[in-house]
This record gives sequence, C-alpha cells and structure tokens, in this order.
Amino acid sequence: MTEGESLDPLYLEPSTEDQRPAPTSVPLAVRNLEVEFPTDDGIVRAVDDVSFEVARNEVLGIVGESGSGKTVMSMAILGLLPASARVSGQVLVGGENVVGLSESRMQPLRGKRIAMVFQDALAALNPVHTVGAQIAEAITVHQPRSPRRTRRHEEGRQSTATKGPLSKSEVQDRVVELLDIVGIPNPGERAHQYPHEYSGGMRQRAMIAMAIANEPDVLIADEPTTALDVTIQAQVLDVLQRIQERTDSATLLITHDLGVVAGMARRVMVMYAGRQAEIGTVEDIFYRPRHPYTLGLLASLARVDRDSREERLYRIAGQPPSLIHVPTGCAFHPRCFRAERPDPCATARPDLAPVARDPGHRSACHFSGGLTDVTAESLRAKMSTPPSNTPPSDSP
Amino acid sequence: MLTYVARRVLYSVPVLIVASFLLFAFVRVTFDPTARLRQSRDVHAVERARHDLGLDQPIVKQYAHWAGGFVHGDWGESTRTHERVFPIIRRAFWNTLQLIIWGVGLSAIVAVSTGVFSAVRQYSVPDYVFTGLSFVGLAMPPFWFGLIAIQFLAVYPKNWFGLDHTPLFFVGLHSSTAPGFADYARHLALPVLTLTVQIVATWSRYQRASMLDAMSADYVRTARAKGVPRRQVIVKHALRNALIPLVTVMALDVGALFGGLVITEEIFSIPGMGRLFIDSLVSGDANVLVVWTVVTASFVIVFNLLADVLYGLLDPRIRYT
Amino acid sequence: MPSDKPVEVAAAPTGGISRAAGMELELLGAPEPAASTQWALFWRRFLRHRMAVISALVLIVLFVVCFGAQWVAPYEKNHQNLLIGAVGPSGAHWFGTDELGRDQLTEILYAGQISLKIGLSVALIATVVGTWLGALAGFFGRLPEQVLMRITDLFLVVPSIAILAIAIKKFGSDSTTIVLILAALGWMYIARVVRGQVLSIKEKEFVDAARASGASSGRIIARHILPNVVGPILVNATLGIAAAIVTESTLSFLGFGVQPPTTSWGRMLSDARGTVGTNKAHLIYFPGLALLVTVLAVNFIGDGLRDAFDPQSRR
Repeated sequence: MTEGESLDPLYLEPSTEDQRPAPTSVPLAVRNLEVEFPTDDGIVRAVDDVSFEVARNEVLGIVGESGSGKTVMSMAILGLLPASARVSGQVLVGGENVVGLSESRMQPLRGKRIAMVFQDALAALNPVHTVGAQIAEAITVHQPRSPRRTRRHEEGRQSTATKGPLSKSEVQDRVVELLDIVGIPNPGERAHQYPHEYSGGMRQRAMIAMAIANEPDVLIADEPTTALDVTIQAQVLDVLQRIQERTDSATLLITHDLGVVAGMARRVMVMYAGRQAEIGTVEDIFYRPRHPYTLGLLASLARVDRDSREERLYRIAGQPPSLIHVPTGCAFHPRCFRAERPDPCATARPDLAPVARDPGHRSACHFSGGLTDVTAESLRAKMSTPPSNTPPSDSP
Repeated sequence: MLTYVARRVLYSVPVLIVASFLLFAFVRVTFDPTARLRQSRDVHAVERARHDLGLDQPIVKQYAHWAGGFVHGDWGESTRTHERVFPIIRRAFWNTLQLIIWGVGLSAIVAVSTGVFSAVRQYSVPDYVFTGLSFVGLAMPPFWFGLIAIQFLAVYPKNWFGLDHTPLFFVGLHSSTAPGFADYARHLALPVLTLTVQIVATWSRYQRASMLDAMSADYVRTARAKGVPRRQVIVKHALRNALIPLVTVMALDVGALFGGLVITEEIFSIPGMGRLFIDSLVSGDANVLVVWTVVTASFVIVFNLLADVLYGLLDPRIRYT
Repeated sequence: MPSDKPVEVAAAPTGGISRAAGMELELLGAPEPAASTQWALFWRRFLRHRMAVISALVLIVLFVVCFGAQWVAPYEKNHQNLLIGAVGPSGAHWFGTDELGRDQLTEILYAGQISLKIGLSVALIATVVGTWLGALAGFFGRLPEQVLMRITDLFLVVPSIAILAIAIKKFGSDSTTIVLILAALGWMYIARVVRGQVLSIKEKEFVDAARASGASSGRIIARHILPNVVGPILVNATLGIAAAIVTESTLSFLGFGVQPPTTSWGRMLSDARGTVGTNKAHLIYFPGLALLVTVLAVNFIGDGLRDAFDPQSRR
C-alpha cells in the first residue's frame, strides 16, 4: 500500500497546448479542461472544453442543472476523480498546472491551497471523529514534519498555519478560533462533539471552518446550501461571504440556485451538458443574457414580486441530455426555442464567442446576437402559446 | 448504556428460559435414562428408577426442578460416567476456548488485512486471488478440509522428508511425553487452521464490502480534499468506519463457536464442547446434553449483547437508552 | 412531471449512477427499461457473470452424470472386486477403488444422487414454507410477526448442528426424514429475508392501489408482493441448496446422516475417514472434491443471480 503511480487518479495526456504558465497573480485558471469516463455504455464526457479564470477575492458562480458537469469539474481541479477518469487540459493553481500531478505532489496542495466545501455536510463529515479533531487534522496534515523540511512551493508563503509546526494546544486553539469565525456558539465545547450532534446549518459551518483552516488561495463551494432550510441557507451564505472577504480567496460557488449566485458572485458561468453556455458578470447574465438556456433558467425562476397565479412559470422543454449521447452541434438545440434545425444548430458546435459591447461577456450560441429582444419576461408570456416546434428526442 | 445492558440481559432471560425448557423437554422425550434397565427382568426396576429420577412427574415440574438446581449450581451428574456435570463442562469449555482464541485471532488478522487490501486495490490481481480463495473457503466442507490438512500438512511431509514424527500433530492438544509450547503449537496448528478456513472467508468478504462502502463514502472524499495522506485516509477514516460492522459480525460469530466446533474437535480428537456433545448424544447422556445446550445458548446470547455494546462503543451515533 | 408544478430550474434528470466512476454522473440518463424487457435484461446480466455461467454448465453436467449413473457409470453399483482391494486411481478406475474393490467413480455418481436430491428438496421445501410464512408475517404484522421473530430467536440461540443431531436421533435417519428435519430448520432464514423485503414493499404505492381496488390480502401477496421479492428468494433458495448439501454431508460425516446401504458424499467421507494417513487416502479426495465443486458452483450461481437481480450490489 505504498503511494505509487498506480494510485494516481489522474491520467495525463500529453498536451499540445501552450504550456506557458499564466501570471502567478491568478490563483485559479482552467484551460480547455476535459474529463471523460469510460463506462459500460460508452464514454461519458462530463466536462467538455471548459476554460475560465478566477481572480483573488473574486467569486465565480457556476450554474447548471445537476449533471451539467459542475461537481466533476471541481473534483478535477482537486485531482480527486477516480482512476478511471481521463482528464486533459490544464488547471493552473497559482500558475502551476496540477493536471496529471502525482498523488504525492497533489496531496500537499489539497486543503492547503485549494480547499473545498461539500454539499451534504452530514455525509461529508466523518461520523466517528469529533468535529474538532477533523478540523485539527486539516491543520496538522499540512504542518512540516520538522522545521528544516519546508516544501518548495510553500516558500515565501506566510500565513498563520504555515509558520512552523504548531503544538497540540495551539492547534486546538486554532480549531476553536475557526469554529468561532464561522459563528458556532460555544466553540470550545462544540469542538468535542460529533457531527451528528450538530444541526444541519452548524455542520455546514464546520465544513467551511475546515476548508478555511489553512487560508487557501482557492475555495470551491459545491452546493454549500442546497441541503439546508431557507433561513439557514441565508446564514451560511452570510458566513461564506464574510470568510471570502476575510481570506481574499478566489472562490468557485457551484449551485443550481440563481438566487444564491446573484447574492454572492461577481461573475457567473452557466454550464450545460459539461460545456460552457455563457459566462459574464452577474449583470451580463441576469440583465443581458445571450444564451437561450440562460434565458430559460431565468424565466423559470419563481418571483416573489409577481402573482404566480396569473403567470405560469416557464419550463425548459424536454430533459437534460444523456452525456453519452450528447446532441450534435449545440448540445442544447433539442430543447431550444430559438434553434434552427438542422443548420446550424444541429450540425455546428457554437464557439464561446464574445458578445458585442459587453467586455468579458461570452456566449456559446449561434444566435447570441439575435437574442437582444428576448427577455425572461417575454419567454414567460409565451408559455400560454406553446412553441410550435416540439423538441425532438436526442438526436443520435 | 448500563440501563440498556441491564434491559437486554432481562430480555434474554425469558428467551433462555423458553429455549432451555424446549430443549429440556426435547432431550427428555428423546433419551430415556432408564433404557438400560428395560433389558432387566425386574419390571418394577424401570418404574422405580423413573420415580427416583422424577421422570413420572409432568415435564414442567421436571423442568422446574432441574432449572432450580441449575441456577443454584447443581448441574446434575452424567448418566454415563456419574461424574458431576459442572467439571465436565468446565474441562471441555477450556479446550474449546483455546481453539477459539487462537483461531479467531488468526482469522481476524487475516480477514481484516486481506479485506482492506482487496478493497483498496479493487479489481487488482491480489483482489481476484483473495476473492477466489474466499469463494473456495466458503464452499469447503470443514471436515473435508481437516482430513486433507492432516494428509498434506502432517502425514505426507513426514513421508517425504523421512521424519520420525509428523511435523504437525492431529490428535488432542498436548502430548503426555513432551509438554511445552512447541508441542502445544504443533498440536494447535491444524485445528486452528481448519477453524480459520471456516470463518475467515466470510469475514474477509464482509470486510472487503464494508471497506469498499467506506472508501466511496463522502467523508473519505472530504479527508482527501483536506490533503490527508492516503495511508491515513485508509486507516483513520475508512478502516475506522469499516471495522464497526465487522466487529459486530465477529462477536456474533464467536458466540456461536462455543457450540459450533463439533467438526474440528471431532476430527482432531480435542475434548472440547463439540466433542462432548457428540459423545453425550451417542451415549444418550441426557443431563450433560441439557446443560450443554443451555450453556452454549447462553454464550450466543451473551455475545449478541456484546456485539450491540461494541457497536455502541465504536459508533458515537448510537445512543442506548 | 406535470407541467403545472413549479420547477425551480428544470426537471430533474432521470439519471443512472455510474458505479465505475464512483461518483454521481446523473446525466447518464439511460431510460428505464420497460417491464417486458426486464427478463431479457436479467438474462443478459446473468450471462455476463462468467463464473456463474460456467458453474451452471458444470452443475448441469453433474446432474446428468449423477442421475444418469446407470448409463454412464463405468461399473455397476456396488460391484465388488475383492481381488484388487483398495487401489489408487488408474485407467480402469479413474478415482480408484475401496477395500471391497468398488469403483469410486461409480460410487460417487450414485452417492451424488442422494446428496443432490437432499439439497434440492430441502431448499425447495424451506423456500416455499419460508416464503409464505415470511410474507404472512411481513404483511399482517404484529402478532404473526412477533411469533415468527421469537421462534427464530429461539432457534438462532442453539447451535443448529445440535438440534439437527438430536432430532435425527429422535425421528430417524432415512433420507426423507433428514430432508424434513433440515427443511424444518432451514425455512427460518428465508422467512426473515422475505419478511424484511415485504415490509419495505408493503409501503409502496402499487400495493395501496391494489388494496384500494378491493383486492384480497392473499391476492395482493401472491400477485403484487411476491413477484417483487422473487430476486432475494431465488438467490437465497440457491444458496440454500449449497447449505443443505453441506449440512447433510456434515451430519453424515458425524454418523447422524443417511445410513448404509444409502450413501451420500458425506457418508462416503465418513466411511473413508480411517484411511487418512494410510496409502488408501485417495478415498477421501474424490467425494470431498465432488462436494467442493458442487457447493462452489451453486454459490457462484447464487452470486450471478444476485448480480442479475440487483446490479447495484455488484461487488
């Protein structure tokens, strides 16, 4: 059971891409990331040519239906995909490509420079260890074994957790401090309790405390509030926002809830079938969407300020596609209200192209320019008159 | 926890009473201690003996009388040797206990290590080998394995290497001529191996399955995301959780072993509980049989309880109230 | 999904879970198989379990040669040849002969008839009885369930080999009695399994629907519940065959099983026990090998059935 190459969960494909590292000021840059899983029924391409960057102190919201590749993508960034996964492209953490890194070189990065907050905190916390012990472990595994042996990539980085080996009581103090930061009352006592003795919201706070234990450069929050009650959701998001501002980390906020994104993120990336549909600032995405899928998502949002009895909620036609049989051309075309079939939507895959007059706003739609007159409101209005072209089933 | 244990003990008392009554009645109608007297010409001898033994009383009364004696330490006497039953059981129990300690210890070590290895390296060559071996182990009739082991590990090596004695012994637990630990070990090796083959296959399959569950659990992913080294993830996070169900199963199985080593003890002529059962059954020693079944049943019940208690100690989520 | 329901983002995908990937890939989205293809799917999955298929072939061959022994056996049953005595395997006697010069291959084929018959009959009886009692207990709850659970509690407490041996001592050891005694103890395990399954299925909507439409309890059990627990029942019945064969052979080995002139594999081993350590040890190899191969094959088939019925359990 030695740590060897066979344990390496990443499969390195020789990349023909430009290997020039990005400026080190960008904590996380993803370039042409692709993740494939061979299965009994065919190859599943869970992440398909995704590229983006997240700056320091920036929150990038990633939105899409479950199965759109969001979680697989975050696992790929952490190098936590199963050995069967085939990953290509680049994930640059502080300019260093971590795709294909061996387990022994990846392990010191995890929890230290990239940390993750998982969705279901009850399952994600180990039931047989106390919360305090689990947070303490996140600290101690990244302590240098002896003061002399500092790891190369940690040189020049000074934070409270890396100054040198902490004593047991110092670690304990830090654990209590972290629990206090995320707003857990009586942190000294709570540290000695087990996850099942916490409420749902507190467990999620503890997960956040664990993730920020080493003040990571990159924080990935995967549906951090989905499993929680609405009131608790707001509290946890509040904690997340405070932490984010405090640590300056580049944050990936993965969610299917557009409301969460609107509240926290500065930029938004919309994913569909493992691909990027649209990316831009919150204002771009919410007020000037240029992709029919984004429009559909917005139109299907329940709005409190409307009388929902008079106005029916919009519903995107059809089902999300199987990732084994992704539709040809634009993956969204069978469900799209704007698609022209077969040409070009069913034949040509649209590029993620810049949107005119919106710097940084990009959309993967052949007709992004022609969507200026369509709004979520007008889509909803169309619900009473169903679209004439019923969506065909997934084309082979 | 204490109240829980107390409650469980109280609950098991009626189970034990009903079970022992049924066994008592069953043994009584099956074996007639006066069978030998029936051959005698004295027709009244049988009746007298039955009266002396209380056999003319209703079965419930007989049971009450017997149970009253049993709880007061009067376990009766063997109808075969007229020895008191308690020392007979104690002797047999001690021999069985030695087999169980060594066999269970060896099995636990083998099962946990192969199970963990198989799960961590799922679908590797060793995993397939262990899986194949465990299938063979599960299908192996224990008595046949014992015979084969004697033939191939004791008798043949002696012939091949021209030894004076077989390298491993297969009768009893001690030689009267050369006592000592080496002699003890040479006696124990084959029966312990036979016992291990009986139980290790199940346990290692179980360990592999629960370890696979644990390895795919979210908390293991969290630990890896924290940057915990792989070995520590396996031991501290996955194994710590995967051991909980295994320990429970082990406790249950060990409880059943006190009366379940009939085959092993029979083949290797070890005067333990299993051998005692067969001897008593063949000779119709009803008193010993009844005590034997009650004692072995008690061990099953006690180890059932132990399994629950261990579960509660290992899993902080379990609260006994 | 009805369109008048508010949908937060979009309809949840009807996805499968990729076990190979070890994480959720909800978009694999293979459509649910229609009921008519369930059996085809079942067979496809069973045939993919290579060891189970090989085992099924082995078992078929074993059944044919054992029950066709009078045609395929090289010698007549009990044909003695005192002149040769016990000799090891040879061209004339593949499995050797015993002290009376009887061909061991022939003996094993005939003994196999008894071992296999006992195994099959016990599993059949125990499964039928256990299934119905388990279903009744699970379906009607409370009293029948309590009775069932308490009875099984009692029997779980006492070593089964002890109960079996005493029972055989009392009721006799012809093969019919042995079958009944083994079945009398064997039904409890399957009853517990079925009870558990029924308890979970009982709560499903289609049972409520059947009840609402006025179906009787017996009809609901037979038509709606049992078909849905057929998988676990079949798997446990298969494993029950193996268990019964081993138990019978163990009892025979201890001297409590079938009595001469009837022989089973366990009985042969019991008779040959004295040859361990002598030059006639071949007498213990082949009956045991027959047992091992049979039990192994049955267990593999059980494993294949489990995979075929419940692909999630593949491990």
